[in-house]
Amino acid sequence: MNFVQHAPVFIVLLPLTASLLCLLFSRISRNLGSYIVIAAIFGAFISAATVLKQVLASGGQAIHYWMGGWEPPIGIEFVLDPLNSVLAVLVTFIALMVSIYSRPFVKREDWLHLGGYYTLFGLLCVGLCGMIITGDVFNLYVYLEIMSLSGYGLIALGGRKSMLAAFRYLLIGTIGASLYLLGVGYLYAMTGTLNMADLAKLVAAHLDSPLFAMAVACFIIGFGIKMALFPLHGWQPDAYTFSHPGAAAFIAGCMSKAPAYAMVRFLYYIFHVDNLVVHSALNVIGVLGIAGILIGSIMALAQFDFRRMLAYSSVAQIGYIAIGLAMGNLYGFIGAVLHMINHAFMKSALFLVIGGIQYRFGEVNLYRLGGMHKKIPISTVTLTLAALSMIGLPPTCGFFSKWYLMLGAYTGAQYFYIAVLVISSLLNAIYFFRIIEQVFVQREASLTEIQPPSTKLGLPIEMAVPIVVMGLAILVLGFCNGDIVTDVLKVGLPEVFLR
Amino acid sequence: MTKFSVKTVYLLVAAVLLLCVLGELMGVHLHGAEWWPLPIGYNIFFGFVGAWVLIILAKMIMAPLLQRDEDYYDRGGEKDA
Amino acid sequence: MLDLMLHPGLILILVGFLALVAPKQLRRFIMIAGPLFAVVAALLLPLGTTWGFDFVAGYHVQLIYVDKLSWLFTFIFSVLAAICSIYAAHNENKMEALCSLSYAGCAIGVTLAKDWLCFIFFWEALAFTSLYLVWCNHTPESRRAGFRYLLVHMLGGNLLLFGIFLTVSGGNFEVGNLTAGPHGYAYWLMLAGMCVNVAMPPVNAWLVDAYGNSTLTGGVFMSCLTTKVAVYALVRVFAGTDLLMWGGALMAVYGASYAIMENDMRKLLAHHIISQTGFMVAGAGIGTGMALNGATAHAFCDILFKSSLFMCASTIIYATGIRRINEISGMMKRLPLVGLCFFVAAFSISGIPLFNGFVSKVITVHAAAEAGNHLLFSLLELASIGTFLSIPLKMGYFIFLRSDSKKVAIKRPVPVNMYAGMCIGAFLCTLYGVYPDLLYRHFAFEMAPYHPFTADKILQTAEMLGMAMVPFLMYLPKMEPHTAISLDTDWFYRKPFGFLVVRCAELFCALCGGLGNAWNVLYENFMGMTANPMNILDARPFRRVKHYSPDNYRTSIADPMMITLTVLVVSILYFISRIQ
Repeated sequence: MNFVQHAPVFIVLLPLTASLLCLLFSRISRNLGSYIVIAAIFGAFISAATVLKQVLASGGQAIHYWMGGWEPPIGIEFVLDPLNSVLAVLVTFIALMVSIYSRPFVKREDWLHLGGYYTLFGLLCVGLCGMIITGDVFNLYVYLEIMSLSGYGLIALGGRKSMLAAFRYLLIGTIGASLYLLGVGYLYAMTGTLNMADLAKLVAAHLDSPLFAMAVACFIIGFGIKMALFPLHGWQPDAYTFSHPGAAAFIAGCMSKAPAYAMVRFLYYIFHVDNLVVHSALNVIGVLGIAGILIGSIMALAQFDFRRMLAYSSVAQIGYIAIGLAMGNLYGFIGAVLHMINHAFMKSALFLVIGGIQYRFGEVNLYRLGGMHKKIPISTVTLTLAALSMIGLPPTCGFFSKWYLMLGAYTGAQYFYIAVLVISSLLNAIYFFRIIEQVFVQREASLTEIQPPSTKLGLPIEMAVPIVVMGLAILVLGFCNGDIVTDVLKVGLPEVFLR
Repeated sequence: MTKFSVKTVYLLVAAVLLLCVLGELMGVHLHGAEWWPLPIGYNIFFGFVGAWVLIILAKMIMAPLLQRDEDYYDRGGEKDA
Repeated sequence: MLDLMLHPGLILILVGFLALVAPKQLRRFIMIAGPLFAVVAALLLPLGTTWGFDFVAGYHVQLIYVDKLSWLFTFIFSVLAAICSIYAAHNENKMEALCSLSYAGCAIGVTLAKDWLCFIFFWEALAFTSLYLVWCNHTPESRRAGFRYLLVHMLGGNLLLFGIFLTVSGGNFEVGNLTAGPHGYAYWLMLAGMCVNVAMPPVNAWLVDAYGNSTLTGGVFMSCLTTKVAVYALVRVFAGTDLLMWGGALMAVYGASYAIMENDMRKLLAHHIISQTGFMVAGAGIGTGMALNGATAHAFCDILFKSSLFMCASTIIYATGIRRINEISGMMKRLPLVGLCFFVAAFSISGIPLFNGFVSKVITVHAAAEAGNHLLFSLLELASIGTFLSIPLKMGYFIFLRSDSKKVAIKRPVPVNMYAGMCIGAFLCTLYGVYPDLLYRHFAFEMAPYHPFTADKILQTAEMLGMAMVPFLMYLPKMEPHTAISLDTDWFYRKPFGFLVVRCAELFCALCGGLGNAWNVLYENFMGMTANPMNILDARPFRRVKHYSPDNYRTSIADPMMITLTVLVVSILYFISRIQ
């Protein structure tokens, strides 16, 4: 079996196997299950990197992997073009980091909870990767549900209040998934195929039908719920706030990106954006995006719980992606995709930091973070980098994605987007600088240490390393954003822009 | 008046004027206004009336209207240069 | 270049700078001897000298232009500078020495200038140098008076400047008679500017204000220069303007009336300057050769006797420290030489025969009669009577001849140079009085030969002035001045205008403060709002929780579901409507 040839399926297969066997191994030896899952995720990361290298080396040609050798459009296939591959690498990398990071949180649990946690974690990784690389619309639904259910579970593991949050998320998330399924059903009824490439060809004849309009509406609402587009975001603040601190980074960083990717795939690649319905859909997304940006930022200003603030900030950042898509031109598209990548790292970094603080001090109130730079210097560096990136200061990565968005707005002559971007940057600046001020300038808060520092860095090594890596990644992404755009994204543009 | 008393001055003035009138009578032709033939002693008349009018004007009419205390301008606001 | 070196004005300015830098002993010598060089230079300047150079755009600057008119004025200004400088030689103040000599130098500069640029340059310089003579007094009152002086002269100077600018841009580069010319803006502006300097009512108040508040020695310089330069300018440029006739008559009577009321010695003399200048202005206005000659001669002699009067008054103030007439008496016994010089000058100003007033002032008056203007003649005669009343009679009696009831003490001895100055002045007054031809041979304008010492003129003067003494003696007790100031036209810009300016400034300051305050309030509110917008958006009265709390926003799950469904339905309808 050639590894390179089968690498696409390993992205999904390895974590899936490990997750299913995790509980068994945990029963044998408490920590064994977690090690297995971590190793599997590492394997998935290697596979994704291999696939990416392959795709780029072939000049952007998509790799098609037929599951079980069955030929599409009947068989299910994995399609990996540059857009996919990058996101797959992204998700597996963050999964790897966070899985290592969350070990200290669950080290002392009994075998059931430890095993269960890592099972859910692995399944979440499977679901996300699967959603990203699949080429079949119903397969996407399967992975969507896998992702959602494991997500609910991970959130519920977070403590007392988290069960209610998870349950609310479950209710709304199910509606979202159901809407997606409804849309798929309509498309199948119209065209008779479930394969994405085939669908793209066959649906072209039905672009004016009301059924198509309904399908598109279902899609965008369904994905909107999953990625927390305003006003469908009601579940998100509670979910992020009360989720398990070890997994929060993964959930917050990646769980909103896969549905966003799916929206991109559908609207730009399958439905080929230049028809009336999709145009209207983009308008709707644009409006909701603007509202999300403004309201998300304003609500974020009001919070005193760090995680809740980050949740509302995510609403705003997803709004950026939404308006990037809604602009409909090349730069907007690039900005949206680049922002997906950047935001994943930024948000993950922030949640990692607050998780660390929660681990050591049990404190989540951002007004009580005074003098943190003396206690946990590593976290402070990452925190600062991530905050500056969220505000949009070069050379951190956040600046560049916002820059592309503004370029997109300018070339499309949609100047209100620029205004909205500027206002939101200012609002971002307010609450992120507030945090920096709290950490650096305020007097030291009297915090009780739950866990005494085990290393000189203030946090256990398994937590410190991912935090450092994330901080570095923010800078690296910033410096290399040009390469990412030219070598990766521009190679994988939808046909609409290449014509 | 140290050396002179008012009376002495009056006498002197009277003497001078008398000389002048005599001089006029002796045919000295006075230049001056030629509206009407100048009567003798016109200048005396003019001098007296003129001085009298000026003193009345200045002392009786203008002074009460226009004179104020020496610190008139210093009250009320002229404290800065 | 030789001609330039003979420019008396430049010599005086140079002497002034030397006096500024010289050490104390040398300064006295420079101040006494220096202006004599200027006098010699003035005597040496031949008629018809010109010296100039080309400036930009075809404009020829002419620094020296000597004809009979300008020579006469130059000569008398140099003589004045010499006398006053001798008088002021005891003064320790270096800047004052510089400014007074430069002031005289600039006066000569105006007189000798033939082109407008030089003219206006020296004219403005007059204002600046004389301003310092007021400020040198270092009292609060003189500081304020100096500011008012500066403001009025800025106004006058700018009017003149604007008029000259219009004239020069019209192509007329040389100082000449403009009476006949187009009576446009340039004409009126220049006339107005010159009238400010000549102290015609209503812009006359600066003169009394400033001269009363200047330094003792500075006041002597100031008394004769600004107004006489303005007279020269009027004679040169606006001879024959009718406005000047009546303006002059008004000035003459106005000044004389105020002088009868006035209490402060130097202010009384200042009012008199207005009066005498009025004669000259009226003469310039009449415009005939005789009248212009009369104005010139009067200017010449007025400089001599006016400076003498100012010197005497300043000496008395220097010696006793008293300025007010009603506080002084019996000076004849204490300072007899001063009294003698005073009476010589006083008789000159009244026009009594054997003194130089008689040979000059009367020319103007008779010119009025010759020109057929009888009203003017009568007014000028009236003013002469007023002069006689206020100076020899009023000042002479109350200061000198009255018995020493006020028990005035001499505080400082009078230095020799002051006596020297006064005596030279008095001497020159009598010299020209008995030998008028020294003056007459320099007359600039054509006129019939004039013989002052005719019987009818002497008789006329004797009658008029003799009779004028009678009412004075009748009202003698009442003639004593009160301790008061007289309001003049400067009331308008000192009281209501000042009030207006102060209120406007207060209004603007309040406005600025208010705006700054409003900005502050706005800023603080903005800061509070952006720190937590939800506090404003959320704190509604009927909510139990006053401030934002996340629990407010956690409604039942039905709400997000409803929102979802609503958005779904709306989108569907929107899409379908688009494709229909």
